[in-house]
Amino acid sequence: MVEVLSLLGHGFAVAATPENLLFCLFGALIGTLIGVLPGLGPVATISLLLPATFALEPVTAIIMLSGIFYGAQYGGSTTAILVNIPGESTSVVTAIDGYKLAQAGRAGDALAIAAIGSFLAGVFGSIVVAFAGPSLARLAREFQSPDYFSLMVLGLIAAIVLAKGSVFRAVAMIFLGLLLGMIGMDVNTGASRMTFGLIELSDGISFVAIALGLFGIAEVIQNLEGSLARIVNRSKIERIWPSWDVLKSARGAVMRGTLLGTVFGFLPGGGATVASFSAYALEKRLAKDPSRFGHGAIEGVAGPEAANNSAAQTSFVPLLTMGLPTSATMALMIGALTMHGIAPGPMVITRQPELFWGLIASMFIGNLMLIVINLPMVGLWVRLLAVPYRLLFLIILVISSIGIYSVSNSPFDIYLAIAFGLLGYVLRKLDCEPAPLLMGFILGPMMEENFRRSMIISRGDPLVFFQRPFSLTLILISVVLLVTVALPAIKRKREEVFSEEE
Amino acid sequence: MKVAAGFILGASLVLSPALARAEWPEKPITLVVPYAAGGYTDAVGRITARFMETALKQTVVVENRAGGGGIVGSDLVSKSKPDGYTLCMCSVGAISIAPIAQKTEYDPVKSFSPISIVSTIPQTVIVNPSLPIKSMDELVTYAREHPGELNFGSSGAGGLMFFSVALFQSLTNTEMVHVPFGGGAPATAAVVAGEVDLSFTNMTDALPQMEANNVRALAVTSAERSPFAADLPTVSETVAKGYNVESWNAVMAPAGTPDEIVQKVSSVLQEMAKDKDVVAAMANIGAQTVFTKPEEFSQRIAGEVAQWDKLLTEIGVKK
Amino acid sequence: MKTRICKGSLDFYSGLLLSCIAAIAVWFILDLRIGTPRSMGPGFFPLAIAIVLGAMGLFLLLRGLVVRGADAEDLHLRPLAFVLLSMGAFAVLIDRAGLIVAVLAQIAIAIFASRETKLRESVIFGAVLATFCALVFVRLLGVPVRVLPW
Repeated sequence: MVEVLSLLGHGFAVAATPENLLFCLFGALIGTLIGVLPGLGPVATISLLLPATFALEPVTAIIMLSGIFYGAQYGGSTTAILVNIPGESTSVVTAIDGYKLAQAGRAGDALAIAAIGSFLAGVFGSIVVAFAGPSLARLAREFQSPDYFSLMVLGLIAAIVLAKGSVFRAVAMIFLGLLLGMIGMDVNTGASRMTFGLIELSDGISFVAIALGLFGIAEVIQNLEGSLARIVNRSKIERIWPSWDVLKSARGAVMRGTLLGTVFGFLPGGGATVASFSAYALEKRLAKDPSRFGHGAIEGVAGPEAANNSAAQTSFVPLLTMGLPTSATMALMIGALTMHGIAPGPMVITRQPELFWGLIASMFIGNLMLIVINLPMVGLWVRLLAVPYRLLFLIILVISSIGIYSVSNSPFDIYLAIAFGLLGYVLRKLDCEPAPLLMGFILGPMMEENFRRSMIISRGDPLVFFQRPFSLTLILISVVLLVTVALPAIKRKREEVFSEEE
Repeated sequence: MKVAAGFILGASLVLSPALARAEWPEKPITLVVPYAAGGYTDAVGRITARFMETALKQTVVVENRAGGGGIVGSDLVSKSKPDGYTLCMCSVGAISIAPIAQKTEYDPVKSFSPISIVSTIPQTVIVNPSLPIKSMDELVTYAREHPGELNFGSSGAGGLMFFSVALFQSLTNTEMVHVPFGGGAPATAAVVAGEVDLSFTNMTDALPQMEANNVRALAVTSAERSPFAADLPTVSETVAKGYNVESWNAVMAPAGTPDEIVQKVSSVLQEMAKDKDVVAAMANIGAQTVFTKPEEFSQRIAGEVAQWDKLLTEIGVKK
Repeated sequence: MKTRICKGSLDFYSGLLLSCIAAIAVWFILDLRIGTPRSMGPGFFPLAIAIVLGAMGLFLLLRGLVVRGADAEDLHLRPLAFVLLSMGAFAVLIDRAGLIVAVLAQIAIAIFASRETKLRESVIFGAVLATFCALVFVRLLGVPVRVLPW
């Protein structure tokens, strides 16, 4: 304990040099900017800025790059709330209720709660990383393929809870997402699946293209159908700061989301994503009136935002202690470290203490900077909604297009986004929601991979999923969740049937 | 006014076709890296681009065109204009293996003008330390006594991590179970956690785990020992004579690139292999800096293609 | 939806869409090795998913024919066509003519997506937006793309 504090003190000494502070701020600013610009996520940005960091000290470089990473978490929720475009898998759920709040003229509430929740969660996550990081990382190592499979099952069941309307349609959308997620090269055999002979599809459909198409582009098309004046309710837009009541109702959600995110963030491979929508599912289950969810419930923003930001902090632990990337962004971080001559792995803490503790200290500083940057920006973003929609939609379309282009420097993903814009628009008309689809899309490939891997290792014995404590626990939680989702739906169905017979 | 006129005159001179043909390179060169930024090949690409920039006194832009395990970017270069302004930081997977295992529109020998290999990196045979296996001989003995029991991790069915073990099994008459992971790092972590028993892991990924005693290293896969782990024997000197799997990165140009340009780049890369800074930067990422003449390189590709063609036909994964 | 071939067009069309997608998927999946639950081929998982999706689609389709239900809203072709076309124009032009031309072309098409856009305002706004994008994406963030056609 005392030792950790002294090491952390040493870390602060590293992180608080003027140069490191400057680059931390620079990273946080860039991160916020690219988080806000739809399409251009942290992956594209870090790869673009990576060469520029070669001139810096390794610690400085990694501090700046991580600033971009968690800055983008803050900024990403802004776009999700304002224009219904989730930039990363973790902000898909933020878009659901956040955007509804913005349309109702409560963008200020949603943005401020997202920022405050992210800040508290980020600080808590950093504390956990500092005090328990290495030992939790060892525990996470025990989490193997069968456990991951069960985690994905839990995630998919949580995805059903995301649905506002019909459970049947939500399940169908999950399956559609699963199917789309199968496109690309099969890891087990190397066979190309449903790629229509296009090599661009061999790595699968890019998340940015599908998310922007289904959410952003489809939303723009729908908004352009009628009069553009009524898209955002401007009557309440004057108020920017959330009232005390709003803060109070979000408090519990922030705490629960933070805990979920902190725990799941340690799991490389889908942990953060599952955390953010488990948090949503949990809030919806706990709410006295779950029907508010999907129509602008502040807890639906607070919980997932807290979860994804604490997960963002703890996901550095598997990276630094095992060299295991938890996401594409983290994979880039590994690249950045290796190019600076630091091999991420078990030796980093002992060999490069200034890097490990400096980075952790910079997370505290960075989160503080981000809340200072973001809270005043809330006013600015809210005013952005006052830009007439006939101009705003041009901004969304143009910046999205460039953003998608920059993901792989090729127009191919734009064509994909066009296709998904069409699909998303048609699905909206058919009362099918895009969020469960996207969840199936993200979790499906991981689920299949871990299932097949478990079966190979267990030599075809399906009992493996019930024999491991982690896996069994997750399956039991999934069953309970499934029952609580299914019961009300079945009850409602029976009522519907009866009412129709009358 | 005069300044403007001079400027226009100057610009038209620079753009005039007579001068354009005179000296390569007279405009920025694009070095396509067919993998994502931040990856291993990207690092090699950027180190190379930086050296070429100073040597040629011309900007060299690194462009990442990731996808399909390097196929997308390599394909793009093979179809580019052979004018020396689009080069590729190609790698063994997309050049020597993919065209046999999958469908590619390019031919590893005919579609490119190979220039030089710039760096190589061997794989390391690592096993989980709880296994009673301390040498390559013991590994082969154990695998023969327990056929189909050992699990090996790989980065996926199309990757070098899988093919190197497949070749090993074929040469040593052993049979192990393939457990694919989504990448080299998770496969290595699975050896550490004991989820799989062994893997043939890139030196870069293996070194930190070896230093922490999380895994036991048995051998390297290259023909010669690696300077990064000099006490490790090679697979070839222990159990499988002639076994040689090495990941390489090389500068290649589209087929039909003028010979003067190929020779000029080749001489720059020859200089680069002697440059202390470059060697040190490559060592940082676990790579060894090398140089090969274009003809040698051509022959090497042809040899590798033959080796993998034979293996892939044997194990039945040829396209 | 004037011709009433079904009682609930919302269910009917949803089901039609899903079963068509499932059918196309199955068509492509059948080229792959399917395998058995114990030794799965690359086609196993996708096929299982496509079958469930197809079944759910057929269920919706039949329910739409038989049970009276909600009707689907109409598609608005004008915004749909112009928004997607404008993105297509951007995609076609970005590598050929550079960022500025691509952005201007995109805006020139996108303004037809709504009746409420104003030509002059949009043109000026487009020019500003194109400059902004060139500065932020190319100068600041270094996206490797040409700004001008030459």
